[in-house]
Amino acid sequence: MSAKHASPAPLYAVSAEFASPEAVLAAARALRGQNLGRLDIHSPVPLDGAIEALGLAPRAIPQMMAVGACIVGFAAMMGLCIYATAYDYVFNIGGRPLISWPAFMVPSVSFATLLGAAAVFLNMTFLNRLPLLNHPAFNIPNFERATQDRFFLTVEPRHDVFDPVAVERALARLALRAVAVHRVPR
Amino acid sequence: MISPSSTRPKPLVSSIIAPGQTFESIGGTIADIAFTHPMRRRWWVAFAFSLALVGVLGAALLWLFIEGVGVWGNNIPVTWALDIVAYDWWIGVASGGLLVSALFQLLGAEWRSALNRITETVSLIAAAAAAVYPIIHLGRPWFFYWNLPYPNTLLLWPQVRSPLFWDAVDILSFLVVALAFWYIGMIPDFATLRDRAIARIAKKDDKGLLRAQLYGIVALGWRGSALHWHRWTQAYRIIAMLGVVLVVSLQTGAAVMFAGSVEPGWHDTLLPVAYLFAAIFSGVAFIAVATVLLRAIFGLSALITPRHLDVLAKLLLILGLLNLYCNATEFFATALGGDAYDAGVMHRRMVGSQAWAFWTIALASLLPVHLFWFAAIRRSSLALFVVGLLVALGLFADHFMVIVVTLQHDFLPSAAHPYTTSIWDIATFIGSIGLFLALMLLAMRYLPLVSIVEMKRLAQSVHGRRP
Repeated sequence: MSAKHASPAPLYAVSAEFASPEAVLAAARALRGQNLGRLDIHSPVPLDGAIEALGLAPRAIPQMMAVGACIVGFAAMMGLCIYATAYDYVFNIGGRPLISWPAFMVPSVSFATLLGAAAVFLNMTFLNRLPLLNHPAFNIPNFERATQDRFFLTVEPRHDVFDPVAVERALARLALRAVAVHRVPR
Repeated sequence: MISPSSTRPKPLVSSIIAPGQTFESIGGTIADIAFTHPMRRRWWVAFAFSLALVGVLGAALLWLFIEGVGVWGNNIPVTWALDIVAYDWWIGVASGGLLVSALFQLLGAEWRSALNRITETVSLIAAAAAAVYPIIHLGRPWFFYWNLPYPNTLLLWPQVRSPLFWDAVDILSFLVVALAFWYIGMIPDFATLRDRAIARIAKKDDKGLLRAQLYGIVALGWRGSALHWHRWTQAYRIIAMLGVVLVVSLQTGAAVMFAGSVEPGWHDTLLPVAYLFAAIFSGVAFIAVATVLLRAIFGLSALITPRHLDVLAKLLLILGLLNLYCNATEFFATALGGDAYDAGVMHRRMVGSQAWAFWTIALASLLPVHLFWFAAIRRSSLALFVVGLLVALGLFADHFMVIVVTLQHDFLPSAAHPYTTSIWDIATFIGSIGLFLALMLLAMRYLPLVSIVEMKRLAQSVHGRRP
């Protein structure tokens, strides 16, 4: 384990590099209750149980966005068709009903999925603050392997009081030890 | 999320990825295709051939724009011919691909991992090939926006009860959903490619700074944070569900568009389901062909195993049976239904001037899939390739039969008029195939056509928890 000391720049986080998903999840569980800072995991694949291990409770925003956008999309297209045929440009042929809604179902359902997919995608990028081409996480040494085969646990300062030494001690007490621990500048 | 591997029988899962594959080897195998460009000459030959076909498309379109849609041999009453046939065929392939990849995603079958990216890409590029048609088949394509509801000085609306308007909304929706589904899955893989490109520069293997920057931009700065992965997984699944809804709406909507007319042969209540099955059938056929090609060209047999070929063959067999059921039911319903005009159309389909279409369906798409009752044939790349092409051809004939045979003779003998396809019509269609191939080859060259993330998740669940 190597630790850099007395880094003059303000810290982004203390990072610990692990070789396996079990190790990083165990480390997250161990550090979670100690109120050391904000925990995050960077991994090449989505890890089952990572959210629970970090003690995060994300809300079901994407689901609500999807349902909301689909309802809006459906209503908008159906409303457009009804407004066009029954109110703004009435052109009745053969006494057929003006609001012939079955004929408007196909574009309405399609448009609902269009708005739903666009909303869910944009919502994902917005909540994740992407695109963000530079981020302090990229200062972590060896971080390019976060998309290959390494798992990184970061402890970021959450309050004004942040003790990197305490984080490093907590990391040193782990049963499955980190491959490397670094103080990462902003 | 994938369920833990401990509940799965070992022999089954170990046959969907070669033993000894690690995170590192998977990322390397797939990324190296994008970086080192294996089979350079073969790729260039194929690409040059595809570009030549795109040139044919350009020439055909130029002549079309100069002379008008008459060059296609369309007439009254056959106002729709290969333009709508080819559009329906391409959008069917795209729909089938999107539905299958969305179901792969939602059902979480472990064998999907190696296939879902190819499936999504086939779907997206087929939709792009389809998207050529709705605009060019308009008599005055430069007024395509007349289809859209926009404020205009004449205070006119598009006819929102018309399939032309529905098609405009449908194709737009399809492109957005398919693109969102494809791209969201690709973001983490782009990040992998970005980081490998940077590592290669550091090792002086490569001067590809521009490449690293480009992959970096399209990766949106992805860094694999746990919360990001959580939202990514949710969004991926929701878009997959929306994709399923859209495909069902699109294909059943196509049947509604036909049923909106009075023409005989277009009103069976089974048709919405039949069109959906036909679309999935053609989509899987394309996926089978693309998978075999990708596996052979880039030597990916460690990631795409005989078991994947087996799954695709079984899917083709099942879909062949479903399509056989739909065709047979339509036949019996017409024969016993008592409508003389419907029966007349059915008769002309089998023995009329375009009877080749019916027999192509029977012999090319419905019959050859029965080879896949035999396990040895299911695992043969060549058989899958040939049968996939035949099925795609058969379903093209299916769309041709449904549209042209009805149109050229509906009710009154005096209104009947024969139709022959023109060389320009065929050139346009062949050109659209060239467009598909060219885009597919570019995708194979520059994009990870096997999902790196999915393969790593698979390796993680198969080879125990250690990567």
